[in-house]
Amino acid sequence: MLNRDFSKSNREYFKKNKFTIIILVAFLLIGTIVLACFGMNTNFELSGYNEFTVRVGEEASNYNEYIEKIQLAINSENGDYDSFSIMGEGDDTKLVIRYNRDLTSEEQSNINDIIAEDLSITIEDVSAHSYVSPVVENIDYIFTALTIILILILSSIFAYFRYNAASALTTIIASLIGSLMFISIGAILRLSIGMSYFAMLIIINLLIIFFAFNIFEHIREKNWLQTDEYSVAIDSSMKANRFRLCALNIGIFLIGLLLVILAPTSIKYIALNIMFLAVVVLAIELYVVPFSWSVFITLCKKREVKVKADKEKVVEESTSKKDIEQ
Amino acid sequence: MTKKRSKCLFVVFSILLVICLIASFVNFTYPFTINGNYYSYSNFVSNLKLGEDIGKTYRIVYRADLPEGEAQANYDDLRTSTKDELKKILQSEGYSDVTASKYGSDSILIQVGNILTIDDENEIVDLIGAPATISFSVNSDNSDPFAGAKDIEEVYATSYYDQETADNVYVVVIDFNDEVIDSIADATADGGTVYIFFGDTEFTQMDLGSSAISEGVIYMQSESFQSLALANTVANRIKTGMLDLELTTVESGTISPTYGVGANLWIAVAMAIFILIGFIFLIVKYRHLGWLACFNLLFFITISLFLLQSIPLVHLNFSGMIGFLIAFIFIVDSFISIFEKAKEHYNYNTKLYIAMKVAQSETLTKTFVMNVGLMIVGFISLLMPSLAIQSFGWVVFVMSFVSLFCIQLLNRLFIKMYLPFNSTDGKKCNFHKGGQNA
Repeated sequence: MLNRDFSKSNREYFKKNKFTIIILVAFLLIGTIVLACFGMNTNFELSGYNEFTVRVGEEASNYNEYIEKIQLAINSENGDYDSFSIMGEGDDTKLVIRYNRDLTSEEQSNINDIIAEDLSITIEDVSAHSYVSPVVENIDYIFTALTIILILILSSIFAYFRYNAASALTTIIASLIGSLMFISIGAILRLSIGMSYFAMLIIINLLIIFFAFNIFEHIREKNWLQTDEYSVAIDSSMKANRFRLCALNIGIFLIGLLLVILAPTSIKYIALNIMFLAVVVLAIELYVVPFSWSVFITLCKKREVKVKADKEKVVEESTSKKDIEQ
Repeated sequence: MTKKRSKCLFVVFSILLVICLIASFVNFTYPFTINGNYYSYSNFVSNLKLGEDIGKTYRIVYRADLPEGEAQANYDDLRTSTKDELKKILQSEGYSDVTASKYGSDSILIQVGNILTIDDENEIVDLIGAPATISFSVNSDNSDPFAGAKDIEEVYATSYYDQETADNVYVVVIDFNDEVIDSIADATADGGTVYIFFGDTEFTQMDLGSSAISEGVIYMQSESFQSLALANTVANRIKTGMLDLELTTVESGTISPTYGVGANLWIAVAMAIFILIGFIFLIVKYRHLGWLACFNLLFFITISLFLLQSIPLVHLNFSGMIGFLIAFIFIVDSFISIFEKAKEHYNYNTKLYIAMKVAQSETLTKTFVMNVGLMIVGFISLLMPSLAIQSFGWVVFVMSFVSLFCIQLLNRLFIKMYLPFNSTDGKKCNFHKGGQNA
């Protein structure tokens, strides 16, 4: 009777949030396909880059005009402009330009010609292009994954002992889905992924675990697990935490939006990542955590009931054996 | 606590906070002179070491040539080992934000973040600015060198306690390979002076007296080795003469952040807005308690800034700044947890001071676990090789430690100080009795 109620409530929960869950799954699927087919759009830190310098010979108050022309020149020769830095000062001011993709020497020389013509400078002021090897090594990817796995293991152990097995499993599933969803969004939108993206992945896991524990803590505090009303438990906990959860993530989203609108182009990609981080955390906490918790608590309870029934059966059998022997 | 004592404490803490805020955000020149010179104070924020994505970076491009006799086939491996060695030397000098890359087909690019002043640039130039192969000779014109870079096994700085002077003595040890022990002993048999050269330039000289270098080890001592760090700098300088490839500086100078000029300003503005929203939220939702929390949060921010700028290995890049926000979110959430608990108890007709006391003890484990958990995450991140994750780890580790102090100690103290002014009226904290709470 109890188990049937659990299953029923899960079905109802799924029906109620069908649309959102389908969108989550669709995101994951499309992201996985894009990732498998095209990989991530890594920036210069991860994939290496090509670099050349342009001596502009003056301390311009606004470099945007130069950069726009240089960017156009690079992109017209199939290059992929990434970023620039200013080096030196006064007459010796140079712009260090970075772009992705390997270009032929002919394409590189075309870029130099266009820049020399557009900026009215001599061709000697535009240096030869050099490839710069990535600053991030393969081991960094492994260590990032290791950090996330360690955080997940520690937090799920904590969740198991403080709350229950269902909470521990939910923590793992929610974090994994959150990470995958974040990577999927990055893959689908072809966002430029740099070193800060690694840290973002850890942050997303941290926030998901943090909010999930708030939800579990509320259930624990109210002793909902002493009763059998699990769907009520998760609903009430969600209700208690929803405002805080939404307020904070909307705050993070707005900060990202502010940076997208106002900050220089180089930060816009990261700002977009911040916005998606807030969206992913919110989606995971509002839909994935309660849903997977309900599923896992059902499974755990079913198992508990079965183990209990088996134990009772063994006791009954041994008692009846004893009775017969007597 | 009496009302009078509370008032006194509030005044003392307010003065302390003003001092902390000035120390954190204001630059000024001291209104007095020392030996006729005016000195200026640089605030915590401007002393923060910024990573190359949001701060100035010193960059050097070296052309890397094969030494005579080396096979071209090994060139790529030697270029990798040379760039890694340069990175190690800089890191052992305390530069935490260093990247080393292969540049073009025959060069190496070194970029060092955390550049605050011209002195920082000069330090790097002194250390690795003009690398040349090291050689040792007993002749002042570097003729007939008795040992070179390839003959050195290892170089390190160490110290021992001298009982005569009752002080530590710092030494740079140059340990040569076993194969050259005899030839070095022969060359220095008459004692005299050993000259150390980088290329054709004399770096330093050592007086051996009448004794020879018999065991293949040189112990360099100097009055300028006032600390282990200074001796270590000389050891590192010698190491630059032992690199596998011969380096020539092609280009050097400071470049603007990779995220663009003014990127750090924009990120700081966004962070300030976020923090301000947090303050407004606390004040609107909990009124008096919100003000108390903001008072505490200002201490949290200033103490964190002080620690972040004073710990040598900490550098702030974009990930670190996000770490700052995460730690801020966690501490604000801790306040909300405590106040919500108090609200709940007050709702059941408990007196305000009892509600606050119970709330603090009931949320003790939660806030403690949350901050210690964050500290563990920070520590794990610190062990990772990625600079971005390390920066995040440092910030989170330091700030969760400060957060524990602020939540467990300062918050208790401030609430104790507040209760003599209002121990009964929950409305001043937006608390309502009998289920009127939102």
